[in-house]
Amino acid sequence: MDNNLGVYICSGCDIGKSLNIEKLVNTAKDSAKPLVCMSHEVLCGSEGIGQIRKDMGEKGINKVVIAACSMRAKQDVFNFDPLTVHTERVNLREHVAWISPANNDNTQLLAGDYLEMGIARAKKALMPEPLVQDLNKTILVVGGGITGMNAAINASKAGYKAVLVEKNPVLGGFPNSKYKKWEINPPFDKNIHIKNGLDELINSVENSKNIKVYKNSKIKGISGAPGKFNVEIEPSSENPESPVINESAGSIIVAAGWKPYDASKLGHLGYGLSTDILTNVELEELFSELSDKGVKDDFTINRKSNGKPVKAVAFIQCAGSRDENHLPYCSTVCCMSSLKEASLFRKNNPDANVYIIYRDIRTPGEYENFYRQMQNDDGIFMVKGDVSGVSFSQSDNQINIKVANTLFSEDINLNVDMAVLATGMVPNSGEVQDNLSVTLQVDTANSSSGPAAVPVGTTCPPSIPTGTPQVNKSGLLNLSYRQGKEMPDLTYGFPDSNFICFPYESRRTGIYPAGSVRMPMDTVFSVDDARGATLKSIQCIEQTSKGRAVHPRSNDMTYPFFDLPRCTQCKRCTEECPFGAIDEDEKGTPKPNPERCRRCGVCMGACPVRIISFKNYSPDIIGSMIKSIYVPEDATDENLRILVFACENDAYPALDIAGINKINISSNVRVIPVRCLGSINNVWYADALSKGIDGILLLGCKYGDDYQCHFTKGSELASYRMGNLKETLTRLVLEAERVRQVQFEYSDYPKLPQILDDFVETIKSLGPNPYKGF
Amino acid sequence: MENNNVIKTDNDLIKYIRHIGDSNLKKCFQCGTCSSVCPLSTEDRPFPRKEMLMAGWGLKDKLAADLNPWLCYYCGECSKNCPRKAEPGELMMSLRRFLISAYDFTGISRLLYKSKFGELIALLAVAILIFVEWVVLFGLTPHGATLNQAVSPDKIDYFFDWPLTVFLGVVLTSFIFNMFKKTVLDDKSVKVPLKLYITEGWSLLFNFFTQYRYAKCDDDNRSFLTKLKEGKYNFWLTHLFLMISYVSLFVAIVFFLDWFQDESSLPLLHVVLFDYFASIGLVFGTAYFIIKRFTKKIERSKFSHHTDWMFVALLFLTGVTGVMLRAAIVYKYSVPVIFYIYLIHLLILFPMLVIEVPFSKWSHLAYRPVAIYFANLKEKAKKLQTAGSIAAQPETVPSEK
Ligand code: SF4
Ligand code: SF4
Ligand code: SF4
Ligand code: SF4
Repeated sequence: MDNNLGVYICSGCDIGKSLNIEKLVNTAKDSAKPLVCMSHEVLCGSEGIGQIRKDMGEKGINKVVIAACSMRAKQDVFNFDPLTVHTERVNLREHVAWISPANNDNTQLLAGDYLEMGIARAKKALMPEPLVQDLNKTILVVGGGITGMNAAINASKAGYKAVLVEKNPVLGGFPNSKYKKWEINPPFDKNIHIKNGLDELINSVENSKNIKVYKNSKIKGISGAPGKFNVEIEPSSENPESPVINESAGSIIVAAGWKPYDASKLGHLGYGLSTDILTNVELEELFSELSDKGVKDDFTINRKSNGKPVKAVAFIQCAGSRDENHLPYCSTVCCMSSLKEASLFRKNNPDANVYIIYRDIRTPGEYENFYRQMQNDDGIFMVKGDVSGVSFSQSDNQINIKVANTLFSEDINLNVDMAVLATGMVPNSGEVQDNLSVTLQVDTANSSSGPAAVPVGTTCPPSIPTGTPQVNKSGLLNLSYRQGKEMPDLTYGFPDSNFICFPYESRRTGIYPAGSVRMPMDTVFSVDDARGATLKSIQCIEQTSKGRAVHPRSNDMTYPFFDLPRCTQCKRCTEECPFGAIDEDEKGTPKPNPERCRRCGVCMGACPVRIISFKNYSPDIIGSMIKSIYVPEDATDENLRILVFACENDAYPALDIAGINKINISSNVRVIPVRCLGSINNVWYADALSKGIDGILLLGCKYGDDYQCHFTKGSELASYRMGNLKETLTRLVLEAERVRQVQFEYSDYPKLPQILDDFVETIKSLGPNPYKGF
Repeated sequence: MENNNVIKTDNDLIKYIRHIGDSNLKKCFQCGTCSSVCPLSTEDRPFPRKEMLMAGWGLKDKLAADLNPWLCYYCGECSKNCPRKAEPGELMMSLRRFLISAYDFTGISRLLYKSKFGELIALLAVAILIFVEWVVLFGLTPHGATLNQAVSPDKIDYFFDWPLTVFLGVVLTSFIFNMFKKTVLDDKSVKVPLKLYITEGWSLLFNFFTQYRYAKCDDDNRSFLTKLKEGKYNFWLTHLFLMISYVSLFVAIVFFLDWFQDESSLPLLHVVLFDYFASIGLVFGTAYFIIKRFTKKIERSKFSHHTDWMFVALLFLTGVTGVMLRAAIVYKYSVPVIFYIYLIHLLILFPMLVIEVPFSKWSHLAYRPVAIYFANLKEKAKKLQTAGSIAAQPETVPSEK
């Protein structure tokens, strides 16, 4: 392709006041011989833009270097067709003029470097060739409960077809076994028949032309990628002769719901001592049975043991919840359901006293009103305390509950006819298969085979990624993915990605968990969840068919290219891809799936032989940016050069904000934005250090349990790989301290000068890079 | 398994407590704000939070053994700060009513508290009795030229004042003993040594005559004088003034009735003390409380039970008729006028004393200082016990080894 370079330098927004623009123009002219090189006072104004467009038309400019403000600013103005024009933004405003002393040699050098780096990149960058395809736009919904049915209906309303798979013979999910649900509108004192609404919903799903329902069915396997999932549906166990049916889908909503915590593990709360000690779910079933599935209302709740009416019942809250030995989390619904069940007791057995032993009553938002209403009932008694023992006396058929640490400031004993354990929710996210856990075989023999043209970094020691767990569950989606059959869990078995930034997002592109499989929630919240997940899956289908990425790099049209003939089958990319996008063949050669890809570049960073690249982002492109940095040979303090790899998601915006706030930042620093710290290829360290760069700083998101990495594992992998790199550095008598990673978030921007100065000080104390001028 | 603390909830009690006050006791969600703002509550006595819970659960025996309601003076800080508007201060008031009926084994108080008409009928019954007694002793019209001839002070003493005093003494003492039994004797966790009863006796008298804890209701750190100027102590001082007036009049009338029937022989001190100080105290004090109850501006007068109204009203009327009677005597009105005022005065005074003193609101005058005394006793005894067990330890520890 022709490199018809046009360089446009803006002197507005203080840039002209701070820098010698003429010098910059000359620099560009000398080094790159662009077709056009000019400066303008307000490049983003109609005159400036007009000039650029005119040059494109008349001179065929197809690589535009805009040396002005940050790439995050004025995107609407410097908006040229990405398929025919590469737009390179050089940040002279936020990263130079606004953060450095004006009319200063070092500031001028900084601007010159950024301009050269931009030109270097523009020269090598290619236009994306999006993978536009005609894809399947059906949404597969797994689970026919409230969430699943709502998702299918939403999809249908939005004009999409849905395939709904339900393992039970009937739709409706958990509410099917329930009698009433709580009132969510003022005056919050009623309970409504669950049948109201539920039957309607089921009918509208079953009668919808857009929704194909498979009841009594489960997923045998799913292969493919967004837009081309191939789904095998088989009958649930009951009739094994029925054939396996194949369906195609574009994206998947997982609404598999929850199962109650296994009460047999709650012996310490008396479960199993008497038939009158039941779980909240068993109580719901009892209600449902007594009411003839919601037909009758005037029934008395009798003891299971002797059929006599219940006179006193105790609810034990958090039974096995918020307990490190059982479920460490709060299921959020059991407080409400106990309150509801308490009020049913009071209505049906008006003489009955209901005791609720809680740790905290958690009734969020409007539900507080329901709680208030129940408090006003003279027959409901609540107290905070820890149940310290439950015993059962056969002789008088009484259950005795001991409660310690109560707010009565003393321990108490309660004698009741029935005890209800408010157990929590466990997500139906697949069953752990011990025999299935993938053992990683890393082929260490291959890892040193890269060409050793530069002193460090070409090879990495075997990397068992600590970060990317191989999923050892199965039974729900049964994906035929290299990294395992189900979505990876975020925590406690809930398959989520980064909850704060991307709800509904799993770590498998195009697969969206919703409802109580995603996090504990009730049916009211599930309805909203279904809506969100449906929108996400529609977005995914539409974006994918246009060859564009879904978030967080929405609209990115590039995707990784694998130069497979040079692949050494080291399997790093297939293991480290945070989204399980890459499968592999028997020999271990990667089989990329661009539709599953989120364009993070982690695979590119992982590849020891650097065969993975994007059209506008590759080891070579960034390498040439690094090489275009001018590193003065006499090693004074102000000539120290620090390279910062800044994550585009948080760190780069934070640098911009620092600029907007005119926070002074050391002129030793050169920033290169990266898609994710995980995309940093070790060769770049080599490029930089061999060039004489004195220190390298990685600014990226937090990792660990509460990670904020937008690609979930990128920053963690970066730090892991850096560990390996440091050994190499030491071998080369380069101090390991020359490379540092800082976990950083957007709002930390005031700390930037401190972080950078600290690092500059460290480098000063180490002295200049001995390879300078090599 | 020791079942000593098996909880028995009494739903009727909850209803009763609701009936005798205006607390929204069930609304409490045990946040503890009330106890932390209460100037009188302590860590060992986390009232009114704990009382909210015990009342909400209807724990009758525990409530009856609880002295805390008497330690509360209804400053209302708790009610003001309660996020649930559960009115904990009012609950403490209701519990005082409940306790009065719990100490009374005759069941009369419970009746008075339960029903407005019950109270009216009881008062009326006593009034009729007094009227009959009066007619039998003195006739319907005055016989004699002077007051002392028409209404002999001796007869008043023998047939009215002294029987009443004996009655009140016996009844109140037995109720207080009942209280003692429930709150101190039955509490197995602490045994009060005999000596303490005597050494702590001062607190009984001190609290009775100063109502010192009332002043502590407002516990910000500014000086006594500033707070006095700002009127922070008005309620306490008025209450104290009223109480002292009442007590001194009661004692004086019972033992020195002659003084009051004599228009000339009073020494100056008595004139000042009784004609002015006490009478003003009674009339002004009750008027002050009546106004407070009408305007409902401060927490402790926000809610009024019918027994509260009856008590202040009767006290006020007693004061007014008493002052009128004394004025009539001093200004030498004709004997028939004095005779009838006298009768009216007694028809108000006696029902009040017979009904209100042992069975209703008045009894707090007796229970409160006694409760503080008991609470002190228990606290001191507990301290002695723990000190004792700590002292005992060094001996037992080595022997175990
Ligand atoms: S909702 Fe209530 S009962 Fe359930 S785990 Fe949370 S706090 Fe415990
Ligand atoms: S770019 Fe990221 S998501 Fe795509 S294949 Fe590579 S590692 Fe996986
Ligand atoms: S402040 Fe109110 S809600 Fe809180 S504990 Fe006291 S009475 Fe209960
Ligand atoms: S009214 Fe005052 S003294 Fe009584 S409990 Fe409330 S805060 Fe304490």
